[in-house]
Amino acid sequence: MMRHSSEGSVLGPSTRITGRISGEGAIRVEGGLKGDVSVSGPAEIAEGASVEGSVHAESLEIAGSLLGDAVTRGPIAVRAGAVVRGDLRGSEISIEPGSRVSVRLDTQVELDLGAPRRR
Amino acid sequence: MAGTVIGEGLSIEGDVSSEEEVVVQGNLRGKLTTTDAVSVGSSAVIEADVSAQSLTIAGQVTGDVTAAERVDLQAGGRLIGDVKASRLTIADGASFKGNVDMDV
Repeated sequence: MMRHSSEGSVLGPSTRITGRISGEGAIRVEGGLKGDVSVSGPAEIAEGASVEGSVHAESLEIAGSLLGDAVTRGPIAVRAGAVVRGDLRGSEISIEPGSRVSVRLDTQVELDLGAPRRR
Repeated sequence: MAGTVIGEGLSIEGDVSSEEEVVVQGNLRGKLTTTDAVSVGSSAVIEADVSAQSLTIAGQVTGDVTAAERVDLQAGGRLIGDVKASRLTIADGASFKGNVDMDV
C-alpha cells in the first residue's frame, strides 16, 4: 500500500467539498470548497481551485480563487491569475501583478503616525 | 499518487464528492462519493455513507457503503453498516456488523 505523508492533505481537482475542514498539517486545495478551513500548517489554493469560506492557516498561497477572509500567522501570497475578495490578515502580504483582488489588507504593523512634531 | 488525500489529523464535516481516488487517513463525518477508489487507512475514522468504485477499509467506518466493484475489509478494519457490492472480502482480524447485499 502506498504511503502518504501524515502531514499533508490534498483535495484533488475533481473533488468538491461542502462543509468544514479543520485539523493538523498542511492542505492543498485543487478542487472546490464551500466552507471554512482551519489548519495548523500552510494552506494553498492551487490554480483552478476555488474556496468560498474563511481560511485560517500558518501561511497561505493563492493561485486560484478565494471568496472569504484569510488569517495567517505567516505570510499570504496572492499569485498572478488569482482572484481574491475578502480581508487578508497575515505577517506579510504579497500580491503579484496579473491577479484580481478586492481585498482589505492587514499586516498588523504599528505605523508611526504620531502627531506631527512642532518646532 | 491519489488525487485526494485527507491526511491524518485533518477532520472534515460535510459532503465530499470526487471523480478521483480518495485516501482517508483522518476523520470524515458526512458523506463521501467518488467514481474512483476509496482507501480508508488504519488511522481513519469515518462516520459517513460511502459510495465508490471500490473500497478498501483498514480503519473505522460507521455508515452504509456501496461499491460498484468490491469492498475489502482488511485486518484491523472495522465496519458498522450495510454493504452493497458484488464482491466482498472480510479479512481475519476485521470486525463487521451489518447486512450484505451482493445484488444477486
